Amino acid sequence: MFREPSFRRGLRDGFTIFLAVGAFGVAFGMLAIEAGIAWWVAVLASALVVSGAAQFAWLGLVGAGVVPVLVTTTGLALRHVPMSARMAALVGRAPLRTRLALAWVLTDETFGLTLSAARRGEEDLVAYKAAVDLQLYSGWLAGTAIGVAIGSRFDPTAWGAEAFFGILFVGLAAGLVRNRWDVAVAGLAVGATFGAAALLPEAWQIAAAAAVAAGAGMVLPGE
Amino acid sequence: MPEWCCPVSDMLLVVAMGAITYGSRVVLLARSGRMEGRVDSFLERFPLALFVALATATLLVPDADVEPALGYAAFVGAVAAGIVTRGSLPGVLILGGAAYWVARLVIG
Repeated sequence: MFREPSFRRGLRDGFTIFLAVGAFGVAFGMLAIEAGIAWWVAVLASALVVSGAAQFAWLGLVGAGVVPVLVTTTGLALRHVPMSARMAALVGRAPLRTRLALAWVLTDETFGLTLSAARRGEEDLVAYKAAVDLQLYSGWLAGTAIGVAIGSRFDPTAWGAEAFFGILFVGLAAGLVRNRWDVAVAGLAVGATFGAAALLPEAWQIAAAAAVAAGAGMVLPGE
Repeated sequence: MPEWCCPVSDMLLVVAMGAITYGSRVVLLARSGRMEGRVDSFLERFPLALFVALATATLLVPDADVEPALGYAAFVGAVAAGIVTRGSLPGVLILGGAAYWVARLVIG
């Protein structure tokens, strides 16, 4: 797999993700230490959870008890369910153990890049996603390890890293717009997100807004 | 908080968070093939809706991670780049990032 052209393209496309996710990994490690989390638990969290949103939310809930953390994690994780169904359609008949491995780093970023690659006609999506996963996972783990080691001497917002992900998501969405009905779904998603931000707890906003817009999009023509 | 309420350590909590997150990622990926009918239509639209929702939450909503004026500048720049470059991801990243930095230099 490692010599596949698709794997090399995944490494290339995933490099910006490595850098940006690595920067946020540093921030996570740093904030975990400040929140009183043991360094090895912070690294373990990045290795096992692999979800920036869930992990940062956890730091905000330290001391609030187990239930709020797990409810928040569930809310943030809900959007992965339709992503996993879509990914199943993309990787086709890959062996079960391969699909179990690909699920480990099924994040917004790796999903988006793999979906874009599928639209471009990438020949081996399993190899491509494995490479993107490797970039994200190594960046997240290395960033966390650096963050717990250096403490609070690094601010990723100083170079605009917080905006990078927003721009990345616009780019991933732009590659999926094929006709005016897709533009309508995108408009609905913007409105639904503002609505969700006003009505729902933060952890549930993204999944709810995306589900509402995609649900409305179900009745629109495909072409 | 009562002692009996939450006797789990941080490590067990992390394991539970990992189990929930991995479970949500694997639940439908473990089965191969496409869904059918309305579910497939929903899944076809879901990625676009998801990425737009994530971009909106990051850049536009009142409590977004990015300062409002900078977030709107980045969003408008990225959308314009998406239209001009016909959905090129590198194009959106470069031009959206440029719009963000120009706004940051102008606004301070």
